[in-house]
Amino acid sequence: MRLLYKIFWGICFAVGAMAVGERLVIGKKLLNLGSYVTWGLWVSLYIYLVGLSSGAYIFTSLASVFKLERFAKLRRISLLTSLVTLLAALVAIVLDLGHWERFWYVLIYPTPSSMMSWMVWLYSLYLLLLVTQVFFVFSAKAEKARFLFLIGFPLAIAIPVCGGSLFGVIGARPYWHSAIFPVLFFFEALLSGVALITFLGIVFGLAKDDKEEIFIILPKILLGLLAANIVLEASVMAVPLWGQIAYHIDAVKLVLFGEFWWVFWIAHIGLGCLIPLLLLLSKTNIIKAAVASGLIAITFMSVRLNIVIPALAIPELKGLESAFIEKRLMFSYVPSLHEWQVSLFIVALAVGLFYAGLKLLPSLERRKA
Amino acid sequence: MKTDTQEKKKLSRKDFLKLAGVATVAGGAGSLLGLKKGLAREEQPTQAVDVDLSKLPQDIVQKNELLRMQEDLLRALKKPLKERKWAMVLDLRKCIGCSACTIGCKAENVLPPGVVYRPVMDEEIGVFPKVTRRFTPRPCMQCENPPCTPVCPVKATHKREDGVVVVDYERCIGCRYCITACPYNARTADFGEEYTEGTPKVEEYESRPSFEYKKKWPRKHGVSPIGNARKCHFCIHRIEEGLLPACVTTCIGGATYFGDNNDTDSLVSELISRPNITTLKSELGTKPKVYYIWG
Repeated sequence: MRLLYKIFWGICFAVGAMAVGERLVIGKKLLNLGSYVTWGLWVSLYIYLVGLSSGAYIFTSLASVFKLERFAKLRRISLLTSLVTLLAALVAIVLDLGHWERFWYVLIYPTPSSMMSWMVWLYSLYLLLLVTQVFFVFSAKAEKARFLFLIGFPLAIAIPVCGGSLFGVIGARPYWHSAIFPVLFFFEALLSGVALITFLGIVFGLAKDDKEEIFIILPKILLGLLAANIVLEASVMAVPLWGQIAYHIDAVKLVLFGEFWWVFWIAHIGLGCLIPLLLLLSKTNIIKAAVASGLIAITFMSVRLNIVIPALAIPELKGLESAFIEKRLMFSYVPSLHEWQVSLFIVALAVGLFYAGLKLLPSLERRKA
Repeated sequence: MKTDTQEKKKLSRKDFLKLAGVATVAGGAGSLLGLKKGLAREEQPTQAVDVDLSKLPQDIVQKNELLRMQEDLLRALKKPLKERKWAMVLDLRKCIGCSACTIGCKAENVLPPGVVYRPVMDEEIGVFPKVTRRFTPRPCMQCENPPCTPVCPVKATHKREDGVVVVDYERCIGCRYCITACPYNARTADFGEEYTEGTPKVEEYESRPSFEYKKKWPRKHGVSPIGNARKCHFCIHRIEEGLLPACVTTCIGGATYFGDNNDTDSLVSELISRPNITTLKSELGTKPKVYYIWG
């Protein structure tokens, strides 16, 4: 079975790597993005992965800062998850740049007025912190690692807040321009991150049996976070709809009733909310907790797609959609095969790095045993 | 027996054929030379024709809007950069929706597929049979308070002293955050495509350089402006050479006006001071320097 997994992810990696090669040699011609819908699958994947990373880290640092020792068992797997998802996210966003070779300019031309600039600075610090912390935690220098969690905790909160602000400050897009976005991103990151470490914790056998304490508490935490997210998301959708001003509701209508309605209703509401909600509300066991957390973590990508794309798919001026017809001047977008291939590479890279982490950092394996 | 008239006709036909032959040869050579000159010219930025407007009768200059704008432009160029405030006025009553300005701009700035600085929006208003169409050209608004510049993470885009919002192609990383921040969809991204891509040959005219921002930008894979955010810059490379923007000179309806709004005598200042002037999305407080005359 392990061999099958390895073969599967190996193929995914190879197929994706070919597309990354194309991206580096040919450029961005193979993308289906345009001048209007200018962010798509890769930016969505990036905020998805960053959310997983910071969410997992916030939870672990919180447990560490407040000395909630029952969660100490998850510390290593959580830190490794945070690190690999962050690295994969950075690969996604660098490949999305028109001039990826200039990515380091963001470090030498700091712009405090730009939320993107803040984000890059925060990520750089966060990456350094994660690498150091992984080193300390895996070499069993717990006290030093705990001190770093004190620094890392506010930093990890700042990351999703800054991510939400990156969209929230854009006054030109009514769908994004909301004070709730930084708060929404924080809770979304926490939900997806905690869901992922719960899932990985169960899959990697950290729960010895159904009565293991943390795997009784974690589903309850997930349930609370899921409820909070449903309330926040409902507010994002319902408030503009109640307002009935076309300018504010066009993107919301696109999410709910547009061509890709199923991404919201089936992938997100059905698989990502309702089924986990039913599983978590019933008498939970390890299997149910694994299915619920896995579904939440995986389908959360649909939330990210529905944040990034619909806001850009609405013309800001009436008549612009038919003003000059060209392939890249359209207000519709479906990712190209190339974009999916590169995304596959990024996910396979994260899986590969996680696997390498498990092998190179054997303390996790020892602890598991 | 041939009459005089027939002889004359014959002679004139001969003369005509001779003349036509000479003309064809001369014309052919001329066009070849012209073509060569034209191709060579494409490697150079557009040059201003050396005409002294002060030698023309003033009533002619004042009556001809293009000449007056040209005179306004030359007067403005004598002032320091920070004392100029370039503005554009679009008279929608005169716009016929021909898109000549869009294409003129595309040719001037060698814009690839997906990049358009000045589309003309076409709206149908009313219900048949009482319908009309409104054409609204949409260049960059060159906002006084541009929402697109503060979001740039590398300070690659900024507002110049004369109010024109520009992009530093050599610094832009291509994150496209500025594109999302523009409330007029006035910024576009260059994905490095060509119109004749996929045909047996990518035509040479597509790889000729652009002269935006008074620099030569050869169109090469991976080299800016490919990969950058791109936008209308009021053709500052032309303005500073004493030429009106390409969209102004190609507007066949005479609907596009350009000049210095810091000069009370300029044509644009005169038009902007009228009560029938407006701007797009004025409620946003971006203070566009592109004005519209609706009616």
